[in-house]
Amino acid sequence: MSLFSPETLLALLLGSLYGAFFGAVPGLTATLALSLAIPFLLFTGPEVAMAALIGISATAIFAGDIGSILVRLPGTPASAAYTEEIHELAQKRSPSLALGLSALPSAVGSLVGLLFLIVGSLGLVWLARQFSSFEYFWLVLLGIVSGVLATPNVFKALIAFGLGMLLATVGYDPALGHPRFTLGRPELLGGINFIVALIAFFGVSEVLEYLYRKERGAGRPSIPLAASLRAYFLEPLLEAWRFRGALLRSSLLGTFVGFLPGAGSDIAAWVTSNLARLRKAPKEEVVLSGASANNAAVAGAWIPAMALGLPGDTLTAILLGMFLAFGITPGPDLFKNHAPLVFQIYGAFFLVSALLMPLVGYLSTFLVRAILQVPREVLMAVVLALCAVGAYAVNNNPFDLYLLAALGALGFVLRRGGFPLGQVVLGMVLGPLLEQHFMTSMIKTHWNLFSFFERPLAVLLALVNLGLLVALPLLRYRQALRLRAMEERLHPGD
Amino acid sequence: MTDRGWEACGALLALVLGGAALVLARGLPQMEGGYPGPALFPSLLGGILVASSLGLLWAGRPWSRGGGGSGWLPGVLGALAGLGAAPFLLKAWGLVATAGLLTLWAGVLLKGRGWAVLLASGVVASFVYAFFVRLLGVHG
Repeated sequence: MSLFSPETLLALLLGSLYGAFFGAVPGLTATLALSLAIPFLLFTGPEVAMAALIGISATAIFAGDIGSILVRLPGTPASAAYTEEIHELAQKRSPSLALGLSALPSAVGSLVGLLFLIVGSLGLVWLARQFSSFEYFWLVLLGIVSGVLATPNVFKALIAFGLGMLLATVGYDPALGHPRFTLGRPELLGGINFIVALIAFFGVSEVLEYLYRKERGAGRPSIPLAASLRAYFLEPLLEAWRFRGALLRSSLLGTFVGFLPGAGSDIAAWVTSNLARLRKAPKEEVVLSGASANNAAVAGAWIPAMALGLPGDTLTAILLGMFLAFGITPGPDLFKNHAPLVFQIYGAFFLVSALLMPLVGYLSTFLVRAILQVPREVLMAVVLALCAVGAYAVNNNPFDLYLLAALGALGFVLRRGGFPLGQVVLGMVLGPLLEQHFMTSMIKTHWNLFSFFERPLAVLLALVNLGLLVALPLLRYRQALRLRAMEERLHPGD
Repeated sequence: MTDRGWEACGALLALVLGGAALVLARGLPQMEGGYPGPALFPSLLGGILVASSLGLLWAGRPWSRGGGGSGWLPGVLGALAGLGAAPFLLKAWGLVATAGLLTLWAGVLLKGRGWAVLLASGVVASFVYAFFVRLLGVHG
């Protein structure tokens, strides 16, 4: 099936609209959108599923700005970085202009990210072909170490990663094929289904959190969104030209941040918009920087996911789960055995960035305004029912519903306690890889631990791990000292 | 419960799960030559979980500090009970009715308007029938 087949194009368009809706409605996130869509997509082929996934993930991040514009409620954490500025622009200049200022840089950022996705993934694939299990072990460890250190509270990050990796140990072990932690249940021999876990962590826990907080009435538009083509397309184009340097800089930085394991769109948006604020840039430039960076980061995160099989963030962890569900191993084998699919992914990214993002952004405002009239209580009730149906549909197994409830409760407690749920999911993906590469290396060398330091590339990656372990805590310590000094200056004698 | 209280709950849960992993991993077999086998990785993870949850519990004292305000826990438990009852409903009435009933139950817990919740459960049941049962061939 080619990219231009009706099924794939329809999946791309519907995925984009669906993603835009989830991104725009505050409380519904891109990860929730993906985890609810996966049970449907498992029934399609990999080409259709990938097209839909690209549409969803790209537009959901961009559409997070629609909530910011309408009700000053960011739809996604990435949009929170510049919510104040974009909402003010919507009020002072025009909502259409604010939306255009989000859509156009998002498209540019996504295109820059795509360029690096093509070049970077092909380059990394070449490098990955030189890798053995030793290098892969260090690389996976790098993903875990950076993910842990990137989280503000290291204990919480360790718990989140540890729980994710522990959940992934349920079922047959990769070394001897011995069942672990199945509690005598044959349903658990194959392990905890990743898709069920995703639905539980991001879908069920979201509804439980809403039930717990009992927030009512949020999400009604506070300003009307008059759709003016001139304000949406032409004026943002002129603004983008005016701030072209910032646009390009933020797109490049966003791609780089997205590429780093453990970072993601939200960090990219915060970094770039804060940099613009530090330079006392006008609001338009702050918005433009954040919007371009968060979408560039989406493409950036796909680089290690496709080339090495390493997820950079939660969205790409879900993507890797989908690849595996279709029997496709991400990494160099993907490029060798499924080259047409790789080119289709590039093509789908291009179509979404250049065409669908601006168009869907324009169309989705009407959809979002209509949907925002639906009471949130009803919307959340529907989400819970669809979570249950989706989890059951994966294997037609009622036992998965018990798992859904148990993992949903775990997700709720973790969410309430401020533990990063995304790291639990990353742990579920990275844990089995780490164990597999470690055990393979150990069995190959009869448990000679020094073998991890014998190949030049392995040594280099080990040093990067060590450097990260030393440098990041030092940086955080210096930052804490600076903050304390600043507090003392502001509140002397406290 | 305060945010710190929830943090303590999360840490205790991790402590229990980590401890359970350490205990259960002792029953797993070793590899030939006495090398650690399937038990190695879960034991390491168990150790990390126990150590980091103890660290978090120590760093977070006293647990009464911090905001967070009150929430509605019975609603959360009710939703979980609904999910727990779903396999029985599925066996008794099938997937379509289960989807509709779950929507209805969640809508009641969320205190949605009666007519809107009824309409939503009808729409969900129809969608599940048309999409999951007829189109995708999901049994139930």
